[in-house]
Amino acid sequence: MSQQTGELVIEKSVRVGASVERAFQVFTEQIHAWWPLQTHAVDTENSSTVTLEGREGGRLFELTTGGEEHVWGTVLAWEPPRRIGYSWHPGRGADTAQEVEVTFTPEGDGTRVGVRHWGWEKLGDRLDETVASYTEGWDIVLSRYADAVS
Amino acid sequence: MAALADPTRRAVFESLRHGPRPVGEIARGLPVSRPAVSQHLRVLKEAGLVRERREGTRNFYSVDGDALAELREYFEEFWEEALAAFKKAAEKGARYESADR
Repeated sequence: MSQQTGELVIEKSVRVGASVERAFQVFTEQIHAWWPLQTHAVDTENSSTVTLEGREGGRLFELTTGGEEHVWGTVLAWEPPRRIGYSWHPGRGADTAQEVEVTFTPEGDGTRVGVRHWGWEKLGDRLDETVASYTEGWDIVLSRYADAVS
Repeated sequence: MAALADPTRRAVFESLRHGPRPVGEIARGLPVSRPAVSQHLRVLKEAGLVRERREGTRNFYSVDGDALAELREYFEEFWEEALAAFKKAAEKGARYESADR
């Protein structure tokens, strides 16, 4: 299993009608303006904002309405306006972190923004637990296995 | 295949929902003997629902779901949603930018 998790790389990209500089700035400095906290946060109910500190070693963290901080990761690469890299371990210890790389490439009069997300082998034995917590997937698991019963 | 049809076996299976556990720990939460739990785990393992891993002197059991496929599915959707929201914000900004000129 750990071999397979090591091979898993999530890759997504989107083309935006904005300059590379603009896209980079919105992704980093203005992350609070667009990151979907209501679904993509540690404490989705109380999360109020997210901040990306724009420097190597800077933190990516969520702040709740109660003033609590949840660190999601640390900036590993800071190369404005073309590339950022950060570790990813929201709600978990840094020793179980994945890595995320975001690239900004000119495409026509816009920018191609690409995300790569890898390093899942670090979840180790916590894979099932993590997946269950992410997907609230126990119902999915059970419904899948319901087929096995019938 | 009726591996989950037995209520006790299903309870054994459901006790693994939060992660891998050794037999003794599974048995403690259920009104059945440890050998009975072992027997249920054997059936679940043969049915491909549970897998076993030895750690030191203890055997840990966990759900043998396709966790990797679920992880991929979840994060592909996660980034699709995040990037869609990002695109909206970036292009809104870009429009304001050009309107200013």
